[in-house]
Amino acid sequence: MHKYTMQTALIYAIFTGVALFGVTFAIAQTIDIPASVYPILVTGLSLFLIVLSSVSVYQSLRIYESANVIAKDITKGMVAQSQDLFVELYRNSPVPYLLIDRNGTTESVNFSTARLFNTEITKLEGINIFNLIEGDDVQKIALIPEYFKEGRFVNDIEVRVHRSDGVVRWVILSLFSFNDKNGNRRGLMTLVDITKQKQIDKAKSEFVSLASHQLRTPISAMRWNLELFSTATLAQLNEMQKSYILKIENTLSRMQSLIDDFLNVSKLELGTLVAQRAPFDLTQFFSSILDEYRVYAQQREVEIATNWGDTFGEYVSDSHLLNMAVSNVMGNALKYTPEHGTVYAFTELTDTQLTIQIRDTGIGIPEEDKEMIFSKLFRASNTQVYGASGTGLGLYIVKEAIGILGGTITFESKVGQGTTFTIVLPK
Amino acid sequence: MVLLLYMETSPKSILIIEDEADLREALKTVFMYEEFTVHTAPDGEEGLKTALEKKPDIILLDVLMPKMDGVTVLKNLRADEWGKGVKVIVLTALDDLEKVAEIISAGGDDYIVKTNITLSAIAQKVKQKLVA
Repeated sequence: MHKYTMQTALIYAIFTGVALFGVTFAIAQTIDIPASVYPILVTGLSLFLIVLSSVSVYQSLRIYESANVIAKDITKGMVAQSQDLFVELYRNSPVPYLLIDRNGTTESVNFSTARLFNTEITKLEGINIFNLIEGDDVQKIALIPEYFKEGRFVNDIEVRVHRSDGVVRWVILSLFSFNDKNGNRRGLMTLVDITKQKQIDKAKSEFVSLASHQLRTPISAMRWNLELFSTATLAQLNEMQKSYILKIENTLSRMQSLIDDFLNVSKLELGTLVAQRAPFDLTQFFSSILDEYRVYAQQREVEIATNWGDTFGEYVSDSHLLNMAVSNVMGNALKYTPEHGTVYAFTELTDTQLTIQIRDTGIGIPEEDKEMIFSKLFRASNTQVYGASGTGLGLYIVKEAIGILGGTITFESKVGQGTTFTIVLPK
Repeated sequence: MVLLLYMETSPKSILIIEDEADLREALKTVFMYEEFTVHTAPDGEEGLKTALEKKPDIILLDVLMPKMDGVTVLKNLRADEWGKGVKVIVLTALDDLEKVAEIISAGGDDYIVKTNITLSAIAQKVKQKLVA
């Protein structure tokens, strides 16, 4: 750096000197001095000025250079300081961090990770983290290493990790991948412990389950006693009194189906709703769903066009879960189809799969709501305008039930034209 | 012939084993309307005792009960010389559907989901079972 300073100073000085020589020459010509003194004066003055300007340029460049060195030192110090700060933040963060290589082998972990696994940091280094992760959604979890290798982010996946002492912790996994200076894929993983939240959630679901369960017996008692009352006295009742009885019956039915929904949701959340597969007659299965909705369809003046009266033969599945799903979709189709509309229900059983399609000419699902319709407690924005009651639990239950049965449910919908739900299940 | 006539006209007897008094009483009333001889029991233990003592034609048996649950009552009945032939319809809440397989294998003739059925449908089912 010093060499350049000297060179720059000299170049500046020469230029300045030549310029000053010219100026001095010009001045000397305008004033009256003897010709013999003239070259000496001009040369001397020029040399003096050259030396003077070189020194001043050199000095200023020296000052500039030292300022530069100081500034760089300060920056270096700050970088070092912030590096230290980041390392400290990483090591002591309340969030468990893991730095992994492209295969998922841990390069370093922080104190929080060690606390999460109830072990020492060193014991967690050099192991494959993907082997320690498990969860309910096996397919989704199997995709994590692939997503990582492709450089995609993994956000907020609920997984379980097993501690060395056998305790299982629930965590939310996120994984951010990046390429280091040498172009190697690496990843920063966070595992946020949500075991406590899970426990609270479970307690809530258990409470809902217990409460719903306890409410069913009094409802059955009310319905049965109401039935006894109407059987004994119906002949003596006037029309208005009969309509009151009918209203109570309908309300009790509604209350019971709400409680059934709550119970089903709590079971889904507790994971206690598992498929009990057994062979059953599909023909009878569909005809009982039709029986269930025939009166409702008549009341709503909606026609049901269906091949559910055909013979389908035997099918192996959990008929209770399947009924829960199909009956819910059917109920929705009838509920959201205005008077004189039609609900089309078709089933096809092949060697490989069972397809159930329910199409309505109803109000449809608004474009902006489509992503959310299988979410718990979500109701499409046009359902309120339409005036239909509901809890927003139905399609959540349907989706989960079909998932448990190993199937898929998809839909197509246009506002004002109708919706088609298609359930596909393995044979 | 006389014996046959006697069998057709003799009142049938039913035992209702159900711990919920409101449900038990409603069931009792409906079978009294249907001119059955009705016995009731509020728990499994007393139910088993009454069954062996009164030897009813058919038993309506709840699953979840104090003292002795329905499945145990059923197993005990099926171990008895008289009890192995008696018709038993198991009453269950929807949640106990997981138990249906267990109930059938323990010797239940049929089951009824309590929360989803009217009293007249229960009476219908019981009468059908007695004919079968």
